[in-house]
Amino acid sequence: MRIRPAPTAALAAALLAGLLPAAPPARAQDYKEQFKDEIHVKGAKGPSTGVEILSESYDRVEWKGKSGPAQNKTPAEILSLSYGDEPPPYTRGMDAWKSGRWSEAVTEFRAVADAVKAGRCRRFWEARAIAHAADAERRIALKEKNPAKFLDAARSYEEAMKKDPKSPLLSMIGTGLAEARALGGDWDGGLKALDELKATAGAAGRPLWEAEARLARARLLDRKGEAAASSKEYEELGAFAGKAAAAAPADSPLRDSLERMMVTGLVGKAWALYGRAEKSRAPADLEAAKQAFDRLPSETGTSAAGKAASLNGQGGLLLLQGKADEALRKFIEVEVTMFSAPEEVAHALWFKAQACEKLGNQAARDQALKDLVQYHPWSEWAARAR
Amino acid sequence: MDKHSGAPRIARGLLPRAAVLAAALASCCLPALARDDDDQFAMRLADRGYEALALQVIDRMSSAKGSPDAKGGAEFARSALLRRAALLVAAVDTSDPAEVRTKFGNATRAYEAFLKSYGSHSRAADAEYDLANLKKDFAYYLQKSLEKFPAAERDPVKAEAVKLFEDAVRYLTSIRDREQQKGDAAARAGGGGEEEEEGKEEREDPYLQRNIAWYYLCVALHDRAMLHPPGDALRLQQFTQAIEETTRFLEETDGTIFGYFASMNLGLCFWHRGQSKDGWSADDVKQATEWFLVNIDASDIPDLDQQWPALARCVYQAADHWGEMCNAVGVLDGVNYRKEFVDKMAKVEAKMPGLRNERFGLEALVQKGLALSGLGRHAAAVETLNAASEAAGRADPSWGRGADAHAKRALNDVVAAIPPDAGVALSPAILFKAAEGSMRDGDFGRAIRVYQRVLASIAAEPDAARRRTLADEYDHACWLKINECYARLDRNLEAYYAADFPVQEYLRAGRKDQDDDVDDLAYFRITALRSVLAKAKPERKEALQKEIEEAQKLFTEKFADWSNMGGSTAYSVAFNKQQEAHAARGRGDRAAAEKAFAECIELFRKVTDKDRYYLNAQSRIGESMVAMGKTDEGMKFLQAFVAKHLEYWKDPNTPTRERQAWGWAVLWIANGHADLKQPAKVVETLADFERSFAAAGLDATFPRVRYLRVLALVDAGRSADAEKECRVLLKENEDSGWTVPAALRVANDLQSQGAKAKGGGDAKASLDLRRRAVEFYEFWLRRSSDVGADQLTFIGQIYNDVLKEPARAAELWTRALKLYEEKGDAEKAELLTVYLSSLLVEQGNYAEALPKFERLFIKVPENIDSLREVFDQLRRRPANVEKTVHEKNVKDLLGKIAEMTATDAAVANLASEARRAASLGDADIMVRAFSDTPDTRKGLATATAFILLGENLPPELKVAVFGLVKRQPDLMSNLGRCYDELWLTKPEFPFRALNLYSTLLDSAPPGYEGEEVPGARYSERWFDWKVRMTRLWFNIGTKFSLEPALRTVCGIVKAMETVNEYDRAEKARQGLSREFQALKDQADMALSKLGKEGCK
Repeated sequence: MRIRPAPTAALAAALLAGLLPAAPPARAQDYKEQFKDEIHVKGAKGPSTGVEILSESYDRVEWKGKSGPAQNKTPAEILSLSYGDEPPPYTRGMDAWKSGRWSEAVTEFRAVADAVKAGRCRRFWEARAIAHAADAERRIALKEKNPAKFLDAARSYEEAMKKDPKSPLLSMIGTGLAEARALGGDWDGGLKALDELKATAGAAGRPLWEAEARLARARLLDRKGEAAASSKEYEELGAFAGKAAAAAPADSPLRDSLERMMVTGLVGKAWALYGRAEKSRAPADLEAAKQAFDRLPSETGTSAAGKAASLNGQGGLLLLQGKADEALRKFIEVEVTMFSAPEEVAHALWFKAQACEKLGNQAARDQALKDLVQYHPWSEWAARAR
Repeated sequence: MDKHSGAPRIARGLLPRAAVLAAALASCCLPALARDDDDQFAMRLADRGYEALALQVIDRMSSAKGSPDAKGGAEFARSALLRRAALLVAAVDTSDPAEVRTKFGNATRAYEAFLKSYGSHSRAADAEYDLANLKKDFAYYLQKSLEKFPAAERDPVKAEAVKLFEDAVRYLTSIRDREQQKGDAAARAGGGGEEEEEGKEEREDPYLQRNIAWYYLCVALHDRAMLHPPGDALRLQQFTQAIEETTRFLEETDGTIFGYFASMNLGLCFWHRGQSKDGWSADDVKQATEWFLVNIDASDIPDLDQQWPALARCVYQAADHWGEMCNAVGVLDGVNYRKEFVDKMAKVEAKMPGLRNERFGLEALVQKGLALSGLGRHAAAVETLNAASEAAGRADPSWGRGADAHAKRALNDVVAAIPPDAGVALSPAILFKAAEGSMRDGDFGRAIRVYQRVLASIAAEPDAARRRTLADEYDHACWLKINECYARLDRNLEAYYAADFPVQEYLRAGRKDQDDDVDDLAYFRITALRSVLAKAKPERKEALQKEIEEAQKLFTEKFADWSNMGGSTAYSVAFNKQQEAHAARGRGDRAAAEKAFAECIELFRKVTDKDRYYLNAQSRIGESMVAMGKTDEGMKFLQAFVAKHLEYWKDPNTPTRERQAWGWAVLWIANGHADLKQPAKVVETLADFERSFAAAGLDATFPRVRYLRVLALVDAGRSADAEKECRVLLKENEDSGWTVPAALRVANDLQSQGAKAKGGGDAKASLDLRRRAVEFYEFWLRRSSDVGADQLTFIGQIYNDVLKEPARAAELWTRALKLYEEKGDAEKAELLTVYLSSLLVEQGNYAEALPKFERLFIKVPENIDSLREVFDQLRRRPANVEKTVHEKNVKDLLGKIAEMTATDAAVANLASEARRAASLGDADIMVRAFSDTPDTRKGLATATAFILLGENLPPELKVAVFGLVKRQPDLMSNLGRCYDELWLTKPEFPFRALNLYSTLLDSAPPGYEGEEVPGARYSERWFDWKVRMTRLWFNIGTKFSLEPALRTVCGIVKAMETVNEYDRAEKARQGLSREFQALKDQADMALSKLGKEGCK
């Protein structure tokens, strides 16, 4: 006679073998309104507390109080928003993200989905977390120079976009997606993402996003080696951002950002011309670059980046002419006084090393490269120096 | 049985004295603090840098009447002071190892002497520990400074370090053993019943000294192992030995304060044993943690920091060590040590709030900050480190400053590790503090970046009012620091821009308010540029010099009035301008000099009485006035200036250096007298100058003073004094620029005196004076940078004509000839050729010298007129010559001229024309044929002159012929001499000689009484020509029995009698008149022989 195992014993065996789930499958819980948010609308004396924000997209914010009808405003009319249900993994993820601990950030952001499923927070948190996770993945890929990982990051961006097509993080998602695709080998896909972002930004009346899309496009073209197209894109960015800045409210953060974009465009264009002149050494190209750099201080107003780029460019052209001594002074001026334009300072240190080398001062050259790597490790020039 | 159940376990054996000692052990490496007020006071003085005072206190203690104990205390303190000095010098990287060795040796000997004399002194035990530690410290120094020793010495030095450690270990072991025996004896003596135990706590622990010695021994064993690099087998072995010894120590002292120190030492030993080349041993790190935690967990005892402060310090120290280990280890074997440490520290902080008042408590907090940063909690890390720094700033500076420095260094480490896009907002105050940490550590590169972040942080502040406040507080302070950092890194161009930027911002903003920082920065622009200049390539120097001058100008005009720094810069600017003025004066640009002097006077006036250069500036104003020609005004200014400050300068308490301005004023008063041609006053003003202004920083002016004195003495007619003064100048300041012109002046004076002496008939004195003159001339020739060909020629003449040293003359003339040729001065070059050739004549080499002179003799006729004149005169027939004879003579002469042209390569192609002219007797043909070019004209002139000069010429023709030659007396004289000496060689030679002599004699300029001009009428040379000419006539007369020639001799000498030339000849050269008379007598005799009437 065969002894049949008792059902409980079978169940235990199955459990041990991992054949059955240890518990019934978890069911997604619905989020319950908590009215713990805050919203500060322009013109109001202070933030309204105890509200529930129903949705936040790039073109509309909708909320309601415990009583009364739902309200909505455009993002431009909102001064600040604060959510009462920010999930802890999201907070930890942001901490890690800000500190550059990318892998940890990805883990934390991916854990936000559980909080959403458990109904502890609203669904949009998941889309935002995925967007940030994608960003962290892109940075990991960048560090590792791993095309496959770029494509992974691109998929994460696409997922974020799919989950929240009108995300307020759309610009970050769009530019990140473009870079991830391009560096993963899909240049056309990258440029297409930027074209879409530009179109969306235009439709949504978001000039800064449009500028960001243009800038990303110029950089992508530059990376791709299409110098003329890149130069043109930078020029158009400068013109577009300048025009948009003039239309933006005075002293507004938007205006500041657009003005910075304008400077970036003008500076980018000058460097694109420099790149061409450096290659061709043709007098006309050298003159065009010189004029672009000479104009920068007046075109970019009080911008340190504009002045620094101007000095760097002038110095670079002097270097091309063999006037290393004069060039060196320009680079040193940037290094010492234009620290609020760190990218230009890094560039100046790169140039400084070259000038010192030409002057036969090996020790100063080595010091410049050491400074570059030590104090500007994130810059592309430091990468070259390494 | 625990007899102290009412108190924590640690209370056992924790006697008050032990606690003090333990605290000292724990807190620092300096000797244990004395219990005697005086030696403690002395050490405190030394700690604060008053070492001299500390020594005074010790000397007082030593010399005061008192007990041997007090004197012993003084000697102990002296030893401790020497140890301190040794440790300090060893801590400086740049110290010379020999000096360090000497200092350690001094301290060691002092301790040994103390222990020998005061072996039973209450500080003897301390001295023993100090001595042991001294050996250890020196061993460490040797080990870490191996690179400073030559390669060959390194192995012996290393061996010495090991031996010193072994000595220290042996020494401490022997003390411990000795104290063990003493303790045993004391325990036996004090051992008793239960009732005695009651009072035991109040008595001293009999093993206290043993425990101290033992603890030091354990530490020494740990330190000995640390000499070897991680992973070294000997290191592992020695750490194991240290662990065993410390474990035995712990077993003996467990539950006492020494037990806690033993635990901590075990923690250190395991930690450091666990360190290998590539990482860590998880087991050792775990064990180290457990031992550290023995101490740290004592924080659970309620009110520990209040009730048992010594143990509390032990807890903090263990926490500090453990924190350092955790930060070094990070994550190991699945344990995140940083996190462990942070969590534990949170508990310690909560339980022991006194931690922030203790050095090691703050050090532990610094470790916590670093751990937080390592965990990515940057904001919390910054907050913790900032709090530690704040607390350290409030603490006793003797340890607070060190803790503050560590906190700031860590803060900067953390700040530097925060990525720019991390979103951590750091306030300017925290960033500034972090930068200070780096600066203090000498990490100037990083300090610069953080100061820049301060500035960027201010610029990013959105609130305008707050931005202004922050800028006021930090902006210029940061730029000053950045400038300083770059300067310390010797990156002077960067330093310049760091100073320049805020200065330009200030100017751009149109500010005119006083801003001390900007004033200083404006000054630092100059100092930075000066440093750049010092290392610049030669081609960059001029531009940089201009840039410096611009920077100085800007500083003087805009900032100097307020600046505390750059008084000297205002002075420098004025001084530069004055130099410019002197230079303009030197090159004779009077207008520019006056303008520059006027400007520099204004600039010197800007140097205020707050400036240490004020007095110098005042004297420079007077100098400028004198130098620009306002002599009276300048002298009055200087005299008033001297009168005003004379009392101050004469005060014996006034530093000698302060008298510099006085000396300078005196010098320029003397210059004023010199300008006013008051040599006696110059001498009087400068009397005793060198002694009066010794050590006033005016030594460099002494040659100038002597120069002025020399000139004034010469001008005052005190030649002998001038020469004496000049000899002193030559001896003491041979290399000075003032010595050279002074020597020249004296040489000229002596030369002039020599000429006068000769004029006065004192040939011997004359020769002596000229010899002395030549000494000075020779110095001048050696030293002067601008000796010209003229001067060389002149001095050569003295050598040749006066001193009869033709070899030296030839050297100088050869140099002069080269200079003339380089300058393209053909005329002077010819002159020198004549001089040099004349030396051949002097040596009797007439045939060699003759062609050299002949080559130079003929001029290049500018046009044909001079030749036409000669031929016109040639054609003119004298009344006493028949026409046919005359025409034949002319034809013959033209024929000779034609022949000679045929031998001259330059005109040989025209010889046929010359011959045609000769055959026709038509001189015009010849003139026309040779008239076209300078070369052809010279060819004809050469032939004509030499041919005609070989004839007895009528006066007009002779004059015309001499129009074709260079009538340089030296040339003619030497040429005449050559023809004279070679008169029998060719028939034309004696006639050429006679023609030359007679022309020289007739055309000689008049001489002046008392002054010898060679070749002047009645000079020695003139008489020499005359006597030679007379002798030549005589020779011709006797050789060819020519009565007219002999009559000419008679006529010449007779004429001399009538114009009283005999005396003059005798004056020119003794015995010369007799030569003439002898010639006349001989002519007389010769005429008689010819049967003719004699001269008489």
